[in-house]
Amino acid sequence: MIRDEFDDVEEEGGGPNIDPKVLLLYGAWRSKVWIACTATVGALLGLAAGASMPNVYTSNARLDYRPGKAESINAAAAAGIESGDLRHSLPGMVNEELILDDIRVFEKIARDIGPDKVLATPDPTQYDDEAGVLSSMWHRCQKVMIELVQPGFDGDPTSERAVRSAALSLKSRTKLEAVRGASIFKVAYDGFSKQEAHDTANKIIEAYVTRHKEHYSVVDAYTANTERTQLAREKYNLINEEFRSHTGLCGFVDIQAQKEATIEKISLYETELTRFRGEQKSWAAKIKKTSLQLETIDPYVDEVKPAVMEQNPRYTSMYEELLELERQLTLASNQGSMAQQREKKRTLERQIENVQRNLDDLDETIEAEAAQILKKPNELYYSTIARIDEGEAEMAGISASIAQTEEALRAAQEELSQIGICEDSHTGFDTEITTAKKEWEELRAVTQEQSRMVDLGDEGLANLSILSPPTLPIGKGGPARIKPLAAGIGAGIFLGLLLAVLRQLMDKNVRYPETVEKSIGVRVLGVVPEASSLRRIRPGHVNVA
Amino acid sequence: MSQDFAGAISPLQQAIEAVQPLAEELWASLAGVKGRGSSTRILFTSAESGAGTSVITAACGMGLARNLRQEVTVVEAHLARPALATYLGLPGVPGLSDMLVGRAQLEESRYQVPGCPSLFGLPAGSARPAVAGEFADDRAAELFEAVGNTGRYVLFDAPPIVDHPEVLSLLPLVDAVILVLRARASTKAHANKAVKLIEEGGGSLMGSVLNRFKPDGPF
Repeated sequence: MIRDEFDDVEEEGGGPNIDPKVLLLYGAWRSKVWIACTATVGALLGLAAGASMPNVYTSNARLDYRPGKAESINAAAAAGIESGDLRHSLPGMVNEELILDDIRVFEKIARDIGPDKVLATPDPTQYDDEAGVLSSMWHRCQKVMIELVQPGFDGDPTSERAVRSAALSLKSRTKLEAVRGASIFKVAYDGFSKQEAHDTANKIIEAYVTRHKEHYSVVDAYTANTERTQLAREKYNLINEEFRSHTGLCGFVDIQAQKEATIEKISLYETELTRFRGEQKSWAAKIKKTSLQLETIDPYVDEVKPAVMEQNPRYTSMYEELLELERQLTLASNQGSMAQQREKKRTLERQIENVQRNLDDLDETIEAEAAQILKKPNELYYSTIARIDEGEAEMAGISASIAQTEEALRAAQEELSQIGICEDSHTGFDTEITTAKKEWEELRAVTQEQSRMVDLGDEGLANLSILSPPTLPIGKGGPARIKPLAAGIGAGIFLGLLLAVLRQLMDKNVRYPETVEKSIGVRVLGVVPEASSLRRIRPGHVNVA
Repeated sequence: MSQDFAGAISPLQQAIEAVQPLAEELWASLAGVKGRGSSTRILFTSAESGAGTSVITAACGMGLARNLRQEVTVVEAHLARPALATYLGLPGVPGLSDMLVGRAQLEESRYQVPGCPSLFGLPAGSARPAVAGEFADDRAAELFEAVGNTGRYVLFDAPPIVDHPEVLSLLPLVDAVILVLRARASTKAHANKAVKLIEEGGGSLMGSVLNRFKPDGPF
């Protein structure tokens, strides 16, 4: 009943206003027993985890590294010094570490040993012949726990997956380290038995040296690369030949330059055509204008001459006389005798001839007069005609130029169209040629470098040799069981703290002054501590009436 | 007039005295409350029963009387569970309940606390459940007005406000209200409800006192 009534109040005063000190500090102290319990459980689990880790025996070996001439003079190989990493005292040690730290090294060892043996469950009871009863019992317990965590390999030992797993297991147990300030690599292998650690470490050392030699054996690589370079060159030449054949057919050697030139030509022709057409139009306008002028100044001499003749009375009388004589001549054949007629005709003909001659003379005179009258207009007329003729000649020349330019433009456009058709195949050829050339040049550079190293002989190669062979472990070198123990305790404390915080968050009671101020929002005027003397007092003791 | 009570100092009183130094800040705050007229009236209530309101009220009264050397009256308004008389070593009857029914007068119900001349106590009197509206009528108002003028400081020891609605009638008569909470026993929900009732009833909530606080560890 009461709780239902106060539900809304609880929401108002509840949770969000929580003091971090109340949550963590007070909470941790309040739940200290819980934290202690979870930490204890964590510690026990950490101990159990530690117990399930098999004993480790470490075999140590050392490798001596000597850089070759090629590496000494190769700036890239000297990264160890250039980068300021003083851990590596010799050029190439960083590279060497990368070369050796290769999973293929461990795959080879895994195949050699057998993945089933590498991944087998470690047996802590193997040295129990010399151990006491308690140790033997502990080792048997340990064996059970290890079998729970590492049940061993149960599959096809020849499979790639098994080899890979075994290689990873070997790699995780191998530590390769460059010794500070020396040209030495320290190799440590953690095995599950003394002999296994020693034997496997030996194999690892040998595998490292083999890997080193394989890496620096440039003769084979040089031979292989030479062949590859030759093949790359042949490929490059073949593509070039194909391209030349193609250009022989299409005629475009440098298609881009030719395309640009053709486009430029088309542009030029178009400009010329525009200019010619402009000139043609201009000349047509000029001719038209001149023709109109000609129409206004045409003198028509034949018309002027009769007018001049009509104004000359002598010409009229002579012309009438001529007409009369011709009429008489026509009539003469009808009058008199034949001889008379002939005589009259001859006379009339002579007269006509004389009149005609006089008339011609007069005509010439009249024409001369007419010409004298029309001298000035004639000059203008003829000059205009000359101008028209000149314009028409220009027009003819321009028309010929236009026809010629149009022909050239059509040819150029045809060429551009052909270029467009051929362009894609040329681009493809270009790409192929560039790629092939690049591949060839890269291979050639590598081959040249390798050739240089081959010429240097053994002096050019870095050397890795065994400085001290793997040791047979005397005692166990691990594991660090303190780590799971510390992790267990840490996790337990964290879990306990989490529970403590949750407990504080879920606390419904007023417990601290901070709670009153944060959750209820009321100032605390005073805090009265718990007093045992007051706790004994009960109001029920009061003598009430 | 007050009635002298010539009794010995009780063990309960000794316990209250033990609390006094620890509640130093509390009565320093109370001394600063501005009252109406010549007296300052402060009401102590709680969210739940068993919070220790009576002890805190008595301790504050004793602290004020001794430190300020002014007349202080502690009035027990929790009629159903009288305890003040026991705490201060006073006779239980007559008291407030007797005055309310007219069986006793103020002078005969107000006692001087032994060993503390300026401290007076007005116990609840004959134990009985509070009658609804008992503190709200005119007679009660006059009575409380008279009681409120019996000292420089008049401290009312009221029952839990959440369970006893009659406390709401006292809120307009006092100058300040102090909420007593018992650490690890009072719930946040009840405390919030009490605050809400005080504010809605027109009381001026001065603050709270956290009683029986047991620190978690060395903090």
